[in-house]
Amino acid sequence: MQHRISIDHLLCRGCNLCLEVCPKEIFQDSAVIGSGGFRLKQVVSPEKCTGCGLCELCCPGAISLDCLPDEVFATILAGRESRRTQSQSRGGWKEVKSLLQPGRYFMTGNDAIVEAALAVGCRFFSGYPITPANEILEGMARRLKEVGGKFIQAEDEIASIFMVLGASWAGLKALTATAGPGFALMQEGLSLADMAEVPCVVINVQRAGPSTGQATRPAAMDMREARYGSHGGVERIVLYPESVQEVLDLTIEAFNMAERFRTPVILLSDGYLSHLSEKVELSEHIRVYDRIYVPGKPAFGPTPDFSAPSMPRFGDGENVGVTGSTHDRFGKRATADPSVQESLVFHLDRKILEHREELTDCEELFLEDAETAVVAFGTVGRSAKWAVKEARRLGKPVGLLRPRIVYPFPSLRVRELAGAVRKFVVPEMNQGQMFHVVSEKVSREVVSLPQPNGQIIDPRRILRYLIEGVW
Amino acid sequence: MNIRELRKVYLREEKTTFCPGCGYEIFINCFLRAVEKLGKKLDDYTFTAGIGCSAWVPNNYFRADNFHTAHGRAIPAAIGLKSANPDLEVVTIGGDGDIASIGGNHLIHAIRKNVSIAVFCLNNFIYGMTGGQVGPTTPLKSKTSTTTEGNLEEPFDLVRLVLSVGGKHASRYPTSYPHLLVKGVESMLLSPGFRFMEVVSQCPRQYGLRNEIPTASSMLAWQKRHYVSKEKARALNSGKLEGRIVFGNFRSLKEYLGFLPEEE
Amino acid sequence: MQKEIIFSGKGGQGLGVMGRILAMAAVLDGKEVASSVSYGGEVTGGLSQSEVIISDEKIDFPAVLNPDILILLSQESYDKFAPGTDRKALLFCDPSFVNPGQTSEGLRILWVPAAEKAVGSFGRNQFANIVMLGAVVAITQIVRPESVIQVIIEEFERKNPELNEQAFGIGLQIERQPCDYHLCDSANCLKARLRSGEAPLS
Repeated sequence: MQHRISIDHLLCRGCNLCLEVCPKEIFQDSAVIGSGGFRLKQVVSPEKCTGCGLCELCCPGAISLDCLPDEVFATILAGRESRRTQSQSRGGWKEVKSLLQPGRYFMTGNDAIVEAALAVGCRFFSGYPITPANEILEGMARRLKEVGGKFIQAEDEIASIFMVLGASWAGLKALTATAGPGFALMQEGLSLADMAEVPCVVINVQRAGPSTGQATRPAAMDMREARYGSHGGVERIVLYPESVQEVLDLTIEAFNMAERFRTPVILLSDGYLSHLSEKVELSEHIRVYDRIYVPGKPAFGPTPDFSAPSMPRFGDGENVGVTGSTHDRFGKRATADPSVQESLVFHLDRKILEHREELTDCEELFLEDAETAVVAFGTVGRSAKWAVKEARRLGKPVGLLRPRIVYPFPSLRVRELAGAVRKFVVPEMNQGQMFHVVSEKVSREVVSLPQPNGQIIDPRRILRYLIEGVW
Repeated sequence: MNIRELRKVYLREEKTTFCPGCGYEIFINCFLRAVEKLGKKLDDYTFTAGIGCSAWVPNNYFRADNFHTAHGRAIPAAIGLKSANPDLEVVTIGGDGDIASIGGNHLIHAIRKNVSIAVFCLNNFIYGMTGGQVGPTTPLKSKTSTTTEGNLEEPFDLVRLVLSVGGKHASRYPTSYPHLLVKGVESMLLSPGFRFMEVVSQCPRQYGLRNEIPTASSMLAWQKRHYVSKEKARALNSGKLEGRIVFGNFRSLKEYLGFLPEEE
Repeated sequence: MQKEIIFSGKGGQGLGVMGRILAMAAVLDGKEVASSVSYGGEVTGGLSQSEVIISDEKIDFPAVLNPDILILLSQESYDKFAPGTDRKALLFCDPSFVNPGQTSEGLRILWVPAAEKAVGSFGRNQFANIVMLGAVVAITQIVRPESVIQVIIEEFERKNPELNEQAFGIGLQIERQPCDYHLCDSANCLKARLRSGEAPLS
């Protein structure tokens, strides 16, 4: 049989492999030098061709050996997109029944994360042992099995976060939990989650650092890392509850936000809150948001209204290309285009900042007539609340602002307060990380009350400061 | 379909940006051919990749779901995908630096977990995209941009590495034997459990130019001198192997060690 | 009303279990509850400690600042807590572990021979913590005994719920029993005065 061989000179790269690999030596350089600066190849004795195919296997698509009839090939090309059309739109708000019986429970902060994650539909967990987050790992290992989810104990925290990202693209709500040293290892994956808009939740049970520090001791020393730790530094949603009830509620919120904004959400806890047991109330119904998917819609930003783009899962037939490189709305890499880069980064910021109003969630106490506003986060909020109430009893005009959502930072509310109060006071289980954030938002006096000693702050110490001005 | 047609159907772009003579083109062609021979479509598979030239194979070109992760992290992402949805056929395509250096720990643990994924390590002996630095598989004495007087570190034998930590499907195919490579890919895509293939590939631009094998054809000729299939190797007695590296599919360390010279 | 309770002793005395049962009983009673545990090496001197706050209102600060009730089951615990304790607080001490001869004046100490009772009833002091808990619950009435029993049945589902319930019952009866213990000055018996209301609970 005579084989038909043709060469598309536009696709020839001039590598000469066809000349080399053909056992019958049917390719040769021609006299013509093409636009690539090399001699164009030609077929000299096609009758010798045995159809072995070595030439085309080595060629970057320039050589055609025995083409199909045009109409047959056209049908194949047309059938390429058939799977996508079988997928249905999905996602949005829904109400689900709680997995546990509604009612009162007594549980630790770490257990509350497990139960809340399961309740909101998390079905994938990957993690690595680290104190004080171990009970989350163990709890997920036990409980995911009961609800048909997937649990993997990974070889390290890097693998943990990347498994979470993989699972998220397979369509599952995914979680990992760690503490300072492991959180540092996860920054690489978190940066990819920012860029590729991968919803997931990461728990950081903060402990006293730097480095191994005091592994069992509480601290709030990763407040800035949670927001700025990753290369790229786009907006992040960071939550920090104060009680086990809030751990439960905010874990559910964290998943809903991750799904709504298609972004990683960091839930901060600490070595105290993780092992604190409190009474919590579970309601019968939970409001749950599932990521939106609309077949055929582009899977990445920028979106015209700064909403989260449609998110298919692998296997939907969208043939989606997910990348941490700069990409267009269809995931195609655009690594040298300044406008694509800039509009993508702005999209990643603005899809969160445009929702800043609903992403402001603060507990406020006595701020109406306060002259001093204590700004506290998470566990320190409990100390601050006690101290502020006591100080009020003693006639001191103090108030409390406790942002449950740490980032995006409630700048508007803090600026508004700056018009009314004389002074801000920021007690923290670190050397003053959020003090700097508050300071840069207001032109009022801001005082840092740092306590990086691995202990929760004794509220009497804050009270003493509020009364006597001594820290 | 011929290769050109397969590329038209399955690649996002007909013209790639690989250097002229790059072995990854041969891998792409062989992969597409294998998929066709199995009666499958390319998007029956989902892909994960790390960073480097190898990652461009699926992410830039394969018309299929694919996740271009960070350097070295393709295997954990693949494990996440596969365990979250066991119906997915997950294929990881990485480079030698990707899979064996920065991602080396992920590789050995994936083998230990025996996750059902197919990992292709496109080994071009060098960090191509970043300018030709020494890698974990760079042969002894090779010149690279960071070993200008020759590499002094013993390279990994990836097949041996995989088998020694319990791998049950470890293969090696050079791009100089495309038909055998197609068969190797078919076997990778069909087998259960964790599968590994080292695709020995030519990089004339970064590796060849520095080591006096400056063209794709001279690199393929170099491969043919240095690599021998296990079937042929069986016919030779061990003295005649003369340091050549055996390729094919290996099921156990014992089988593989039979092809290596006795160690002192 | 808010009560702050500290259980302190050595590892292995079941302090965490006591705190947990008390806290869960308070949850059943509809109270707000916060509780935390610290073990061994984390606390100076190898002390184990469990603390519980029970309140009718939301608890602002979840760690104990001024304990109202202290259950001290080792001399080290006594030495650590007794000196700084509020004079209104109630201290429950087991004379098997705390030397009555070395206690300081002016503290309201209730001597509960829990270990002795446990050995007497069960042949070993394994249930001493639950006996003590019974006495604490009966005297302070901080939670309903029925709630504790419900918790014991659920918590010890696979670990002798009957014997634990029995131990708790023994502890409860201590409140009703005449104070035949040699440490009790019967004329000025704190337990009797608490029962009659002559001495306030706090």
